[in-house]
Amino acid sequence: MDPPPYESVLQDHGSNNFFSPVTAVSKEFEIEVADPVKQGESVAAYVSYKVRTKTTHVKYHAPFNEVTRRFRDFAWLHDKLVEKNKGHIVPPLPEKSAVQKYQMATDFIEQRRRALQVFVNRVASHPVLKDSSELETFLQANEEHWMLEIAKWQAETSAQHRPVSAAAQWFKNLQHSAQSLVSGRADEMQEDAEYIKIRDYINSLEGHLTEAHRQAGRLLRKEADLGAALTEFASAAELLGKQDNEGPMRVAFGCLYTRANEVAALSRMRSEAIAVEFAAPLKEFARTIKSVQVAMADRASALSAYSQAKSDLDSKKVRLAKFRGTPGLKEDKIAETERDVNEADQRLRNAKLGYETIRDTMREELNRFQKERAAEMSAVLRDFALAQAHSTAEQAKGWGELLRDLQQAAVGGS
Amino acid sequence: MSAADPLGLLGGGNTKDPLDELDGLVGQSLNLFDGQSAVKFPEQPVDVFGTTARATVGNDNVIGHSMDLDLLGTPSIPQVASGGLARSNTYGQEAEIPLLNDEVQVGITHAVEEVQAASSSSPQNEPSPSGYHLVADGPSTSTGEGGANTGHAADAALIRVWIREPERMDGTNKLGMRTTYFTYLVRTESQLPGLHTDGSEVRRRFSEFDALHKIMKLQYRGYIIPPLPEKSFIEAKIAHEDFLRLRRADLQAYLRGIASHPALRESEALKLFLLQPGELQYNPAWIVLLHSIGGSTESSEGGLLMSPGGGSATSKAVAGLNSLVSWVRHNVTNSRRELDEDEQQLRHAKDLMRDLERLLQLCCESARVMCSHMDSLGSDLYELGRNMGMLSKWEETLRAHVGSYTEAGFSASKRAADCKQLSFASARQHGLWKTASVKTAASLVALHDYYIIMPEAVAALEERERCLDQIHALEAELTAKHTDLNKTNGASKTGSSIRDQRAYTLTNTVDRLQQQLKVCRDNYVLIKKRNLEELRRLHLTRERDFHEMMGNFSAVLAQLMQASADMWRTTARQFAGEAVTPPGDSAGVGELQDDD
Repeated sequence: MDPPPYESVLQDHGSNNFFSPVTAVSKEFEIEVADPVKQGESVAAYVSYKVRTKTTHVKYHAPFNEVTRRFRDFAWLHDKLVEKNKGHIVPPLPEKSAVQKYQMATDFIEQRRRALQVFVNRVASHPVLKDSSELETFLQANEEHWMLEIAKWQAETSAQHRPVSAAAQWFKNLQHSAQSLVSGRADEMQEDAEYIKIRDYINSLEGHLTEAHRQAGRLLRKEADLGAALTEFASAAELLGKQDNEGPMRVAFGCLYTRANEVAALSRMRSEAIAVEFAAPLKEFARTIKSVQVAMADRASALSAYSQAKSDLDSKKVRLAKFRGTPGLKEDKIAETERDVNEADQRLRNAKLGYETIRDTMREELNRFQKERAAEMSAVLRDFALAQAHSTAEQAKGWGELLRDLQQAAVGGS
Repeated sequence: MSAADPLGLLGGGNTKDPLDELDGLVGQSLNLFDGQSAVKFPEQPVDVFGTTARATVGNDNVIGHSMDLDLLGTPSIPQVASGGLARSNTYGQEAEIPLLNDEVQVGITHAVEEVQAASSSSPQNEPSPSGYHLVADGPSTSTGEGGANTGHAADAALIRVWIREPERMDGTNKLGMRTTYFTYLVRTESQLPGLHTDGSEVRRRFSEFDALHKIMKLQYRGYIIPPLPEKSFIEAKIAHEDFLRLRRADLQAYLRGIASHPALRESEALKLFLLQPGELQYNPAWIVLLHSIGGSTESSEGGLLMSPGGGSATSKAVAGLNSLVSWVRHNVTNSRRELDEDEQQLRHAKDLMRDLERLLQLCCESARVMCSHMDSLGSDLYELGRNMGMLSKWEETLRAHVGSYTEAGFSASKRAADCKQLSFASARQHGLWKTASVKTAASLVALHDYYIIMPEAVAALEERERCLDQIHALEAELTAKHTDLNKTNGASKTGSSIRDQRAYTLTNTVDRLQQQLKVCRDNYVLIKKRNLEELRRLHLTRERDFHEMMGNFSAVLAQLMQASADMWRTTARQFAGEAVTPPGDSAGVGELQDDD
């Protein structure tokens, strides 16, 4: 029995449903990513997948759909969702690995296929993202329509909008904090305390996760080493047995040799299988954390914008008051300043709304994220423990059989 | 007297062809010990866990330093020990290797159950009448080891020896210098007819062991004598704790080896050594024995069959013979001597012993590697457990910060619980693997024991070869002297007192040589007989011990895996939220998990 595929974890978030079950919405979609086919030649080669959808969602005009998509298309879906859904934790895309892709090994393709399937199903079970038009387009659009979308997107990205805006944003933030330092503003906007703790938690989670992954890997390698040492020992023992010509010792040592090799081979196989199976969820979890961090960065920007707008308004108000209190100032000057104040007020209101929207969204999202992850981790750990149990039980059986062999050799051979 | 066929005298020596049996030994027809040649298996799994190992030999540390299990040498609950070479060093459950507290009661595999059933129904489980139990009220968990046998009960249980309490002593040596040395308490309980005692204790120091060893080698040429640890000048001074521990264990193993040898244990020297209180150097009987060794190195040319009172006359003869023998070896080509079949087979056996030694070393080494991997795996599991514990605490911190009843808090506490469970599971697995590493090494100790006895076996065989060389040397000299004598007698009969004197001297020499030759030949017969006996005994015990060893080894591993599987299964269930609440879990988490 191989450890169950990670994908099944999505459909079954364990029996630990304390609050409302997380999976309630996932049954609206069942999406399969299958039939990878290599296309094209050498550098321009890529793999295409069939994406089959079974859905009960109202917006979709047919319950069954099938389209052909490649990795780049999945990336489109991901990036669009991130762009349009600030504050939401968008499920992570599997790694873009240029080198491995070039090699196109079967294992790699299979791993990628599974990861893509996990990705798209996660999107489809996200309470907000499942209703998105991007998903709809992705799952339904025919060739023509799709090509148009892609072309449009590629044009946008080649204009390099995002990098610029990120840099600009960073400068603005810097400016703002410098300003508040100088002006000594004490009424700086504060994040709420609970969020800060969760944010710190998420940030350190990545580190812990990497450590856990590494240790698990080390453990499995050690088991493999032990298997190798066991094989060595069995060989040495066999040589020892051969000294005895045809006697019972030779038989006994021969049994030891055979069985020990069996057990070692079994153990090695299982360890490898376990390693592969459990690497996938751990990696995906690491990527998801990055997604969360993206959302957290968006929230930070929104907060900063809100803060800036407030201090901007405040300074303008001060100027207005000063002007009003100055006798003999031109009327239109005052009017202009009044207009400024009104604009600033409006901007403040927008910024505030923007921030509060993200904040509320994120609260939901973070809770959902944590609950999902807790349940999934439990399931993963349970499966890991089961796989280990199975492997060790098999080995126990092997050793028991050796005992039996030895006894038979003793009784029969003498 | 034919020089070409000195071995013709051996005609009446051995009737069977022992080397056939050696090579293709089936084992049943040779009632050497107790008529029980079927191999012995561990009867119950618990027995395996209770089996201890002798500590490693200090010098090679083949199975690793950490293996010193027989820590205190405390006398055990009386158990019947088997007669095998390796098993002679363990008296059943001498030092309990403690099981883990919450060790799951292992599901025994069917095979072991069968064995259990078989051995408990065998008639050999009845306690034997004579000399099996040292203490009358001992429980008879007999090991099925030929209990029905009467006469030749060569079981090691007859003499039991412990060595304890190394003590530092200060004294003066012969040169009047202050020295420091260690003495060891030697305790003996024995039912052996010539050596009966209920519990005698004496103190001995290493030089006395050394003397005993030399006496043994002299008096028991041809037998396989257990190896004595090397004399160590420097370490003794430094009094390293480890050194003492290992030396104590080695000395104990040494004495036990002798005590379980059917011939060696009858020795007077051993009796004196074990029972005579006070320092042996002042004991007259011991002094006599010491003289036969002659203080120096190459001492074994002397008399097995000569009386111990040979004294200085022997040592002169010994010295003379020594040089003669080496001369013969160097100069006389052996190719013209044909060795008879027996001799050839015995030499072949020696080669086999050498091969065996090499193979055993390989096995020991790979066993050591295997056990150290197990140990390392245990350490890694410990690390994992520790990290999981820290992770759990960290999640708990988050929960404390955000409050248990927020969603975030709840998820955190769930994750904290999971991490804690994994942490416990890892800790238990860690304990399991560490113990298993030790027990695996213990189960394989026979490999090591035989590895160190091989050189002694080779030495015993070489004693015979040397004896043969002596015979050849003597014959060569005898021939030469005869020729001289004939020449002297055959020369012109013109009476010359010098010539007569010469003839007289030569005749004396010839007589003396003939006497020596007879002694040597008789020695040879004896040594050869002993060699053959020993080879047989070695083979039998080796078979038995190795079979048992493999049984133990498989049992240990089977139990390890089974226990591990059970633990993982329990852990899996805990993650799935079923039944068991892990021990020591916080009350809060326990509550939360109830709602299925």
